[in-house]
Amino acid sequence: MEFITFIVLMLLGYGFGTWAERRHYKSIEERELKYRNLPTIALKHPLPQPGRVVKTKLAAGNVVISVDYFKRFLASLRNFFGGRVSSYETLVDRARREATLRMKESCPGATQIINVRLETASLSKNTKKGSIGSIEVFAYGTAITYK
Amino acid sequence: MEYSGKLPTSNVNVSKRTPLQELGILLGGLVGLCLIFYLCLGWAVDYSIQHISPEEENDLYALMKFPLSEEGKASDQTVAVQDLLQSLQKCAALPYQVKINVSESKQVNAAAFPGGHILIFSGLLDQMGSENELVFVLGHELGHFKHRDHLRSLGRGLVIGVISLFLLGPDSDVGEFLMGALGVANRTHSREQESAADEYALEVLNCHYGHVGGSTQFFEMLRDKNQMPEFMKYYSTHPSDQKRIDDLNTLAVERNYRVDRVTPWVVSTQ
Repeated sequence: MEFITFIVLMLLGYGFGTWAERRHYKSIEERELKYRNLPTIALKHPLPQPGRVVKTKLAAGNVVISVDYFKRFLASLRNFFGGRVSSYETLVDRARREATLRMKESCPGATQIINVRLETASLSKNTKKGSIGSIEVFAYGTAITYK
Repeated sequence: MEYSGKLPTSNVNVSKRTPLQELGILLGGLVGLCLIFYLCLGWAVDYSIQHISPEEENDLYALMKFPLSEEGKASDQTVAVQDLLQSLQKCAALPYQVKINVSESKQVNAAAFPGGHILIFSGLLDQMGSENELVFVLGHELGHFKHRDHLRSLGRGLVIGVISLFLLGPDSDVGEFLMGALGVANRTHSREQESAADEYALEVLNCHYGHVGGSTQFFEMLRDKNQMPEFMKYYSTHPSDQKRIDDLNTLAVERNYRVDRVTPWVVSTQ
C-alpha cells in the first residue's frame, strides 16, 4: 500500500512538476525577450548614457518556487551517491531568472538597472516529513531613468 | 551608445540529462546494491538461525509479552485440538513445546508465534470439514516452526530496519522506498516459506493417516470464499489458493501418496 502511494506521488510529482516547469520556462523566455533591451548590470556606476537622470528607484523582485515530490526524491537519491543535484538545477535557475524578470517589470520605463544583487534563501531548512522544500530568490538593484 | 540586448542561445546552468534518465541510473544502482546486500543478509540470517537453539529462542521471546498464553481456561475445542496436535508428535518431532491457543474470532486463519505458540481463530475451526483438513493446517504451522520461519523474517526485518535507520535517518523518503521495495522482495521469500510449510504439512498428513485425503480441502474452501484480483498476487505474503492446491496435488502424485476417505471433525462446543 505504501509502495502504491509512493508510485502515485512520484507520478503526480513528475507529471505536474514537468508541466509547471515547461510552462514557466516558456513564460520566462518570452518575457526575457521582451525585456532584453533593459541593461541589468552588477556595476555600481551606470553605463554611459546621453541625457539626464530624471528618476532613480530601488527595483526589487522576489519569487518562491517549490520542489515537487519527484525532484525531492531524486535529490535524496543524490544524497546517497553524491554528485550534481541536477534535479534542483532547474529550480534554482528558474527562481533566479523569474526574480530578475520581476525586478525589471517593477520599474517600467527605466533605462538601466545597476548594482543588481541576488539573494537566495531556502524556506524550509529541516528535512522533516510534511515540510515544503522551497527556494526564495530576491533580486534587487537601482533602476535609473534617463530623459 | 545604443544598447542592444541579446539572449544566450543555450542554458549552461541546467544539466542536459533528463530527470527520468537520472532516476533510472540512481534507482538502478541503489536497488542493485540493496539486492546484493539483501541476499548476503539472507544467507547470514539463514546461517545464524541454525545456531540458535529453541531454548535460546524462548529466552529471546520471553522478553516480549505474549498476550495469548492465558493459563487455566482451556475450552473443549482447545483441548481437542491440543490432543490432536499431541498425536501428531510422532510424525512431526519438533524441539518445541507446541501450545494451542484458540481465539474467539470470525477470522479464518491460524498463525505460528515464536516460542511454540499456535494461534487458531475459532472461525477456522468452524469451517473445518474434516479432521484431516485440521491436521493439514496444524502441520502447516508446525512446518513454520520446523523451518524456523519466524526467526528468519524477524532477522531480516530487523537488520534492514536498523541499517536504513542509521544510513538514511528516520524520515527519509529513500529509506521508506527501500523498506517498501525490500518488503515486496521479502514477500517473495515469504511465499516460498509458505510453500515449504505446505509441503511439510503434506508429509505430516501422510504420516498420520497413511494417505493425503483432505489436504486441499482448506484451500478449496478459501478459494471459493475470497477471490483476489490477479495483480495483488505480487503483494501477497501467501501464494494464491489455486496455486497451493495445484502444488499439493502435484506433490502428492510425485510422491505416490494415496488419497483416501477423510475422518470427520467433531467436537462438542459445550
